[in-house]
Amino acid sequence: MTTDPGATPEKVELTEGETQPAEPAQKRRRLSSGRVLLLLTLAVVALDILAGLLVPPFPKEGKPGQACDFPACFVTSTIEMPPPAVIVDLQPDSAPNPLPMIYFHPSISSTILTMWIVMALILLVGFIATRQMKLAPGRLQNAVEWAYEFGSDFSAGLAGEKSRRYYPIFAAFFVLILFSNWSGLVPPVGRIEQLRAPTSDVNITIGLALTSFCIFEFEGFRRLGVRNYLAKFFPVGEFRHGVGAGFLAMYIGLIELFLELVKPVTLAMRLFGNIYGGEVALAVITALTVAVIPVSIIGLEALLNLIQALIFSVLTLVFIVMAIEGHGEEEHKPAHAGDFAEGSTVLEGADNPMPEAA
Amino acid sequence: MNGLGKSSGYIAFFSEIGFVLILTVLAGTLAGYWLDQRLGTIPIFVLVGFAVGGSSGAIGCWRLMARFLKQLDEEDRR
Repeated sequence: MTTDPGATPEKVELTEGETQPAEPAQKRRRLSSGRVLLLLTLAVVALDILAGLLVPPFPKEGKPGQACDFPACFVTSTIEMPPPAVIVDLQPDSAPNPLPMIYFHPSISSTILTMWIVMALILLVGFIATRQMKLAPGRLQNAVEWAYEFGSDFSAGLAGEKSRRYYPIFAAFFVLILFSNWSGLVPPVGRIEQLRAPTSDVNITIGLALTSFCIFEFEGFRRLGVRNYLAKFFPVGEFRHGVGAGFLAMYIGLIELFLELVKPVTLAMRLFGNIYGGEVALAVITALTVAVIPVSIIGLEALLNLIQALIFSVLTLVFIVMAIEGHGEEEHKPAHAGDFAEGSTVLEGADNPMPEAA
Repeated sequence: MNGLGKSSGYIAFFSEIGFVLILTVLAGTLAGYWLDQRLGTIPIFVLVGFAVGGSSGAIGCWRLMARFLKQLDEEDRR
């Protein structure tokens, strides 16, 4: 009491009075919950071992009951190859065989089917949450409104106030990618041929990245106008400052164009690489160990999947903001190619005439 | 959640830097190599592609960093 000058005697008495009798009961509760957890863990391990003995793994192309050597066959039977399984082939005559990783063939793959299921579930929840909107919200509406506002503040904190009007795009990408990533952690997905995590297929991530690319390019054209936006990549007007400056500006325009085209590639590859890598790691660990270890890896994977969904949507938002900020630079600072760095700082400066989103 | 969100935002920026550097250099060099093979001018366009890719990567990183630092400044001001 005397050692802590900040604490009043009443407060200490109150805490002491409250905690002391409750301590043994809390300890007992902790012990019993720990015992329950231990029993549950043992039960899961026993179930896993029993399942392994009763229904042993079999080679991927083989039949149940066929012999499977320990590490190699156990791993190959659970691992997913990069190309997804084709469920409905819309053009069977020209089907590529074997299926390459990236392909342009009209078909419904396992990843597309899973994505449709994920989309249907998200739409269903969205529909239920917004069906009976009231001024005084109910529990579900309140939760959704809170999540929306929290996300809006969060995105504005990461990409600036200008990004607020694009928050629905951020939210849509985030929710879709998050649940697509998480769908891979639900047991039947990835274990049966018809279902597989959508984002573990590079064709899907390329599609998502191209959608994102189209959105930020469209916003760039819409907010800057076709002429101003194209001037970012082909600054022919710089020839007014001399031939040398013009050529230098054209070179930098070429680099800008190159960087613009790299954006969807980085978006697609990052998402695919992380999710597919996670799925492979999980498959290998599941094949080689028993129950407890895969569960902890699944927890880690759930967190990493959340971060990947955030990364994709945050970058989409930042790219949109960068695309619409471009015109401040082009219009107000027709910079010489030499002071490109300075010009770019002005681009992000305060004299942007674009109206701030509320 | 907010801490995790902020961290993932930072991861997004920094991972983008890595990807931009690798992809631009790789794409520039491979495009140069392809052009060189078609024209039989090895190694002129490989070097040009490498230079263009490398400088693109550097400028791309610089722009991302500038965007990121600007955001940090805005946060400090708030």
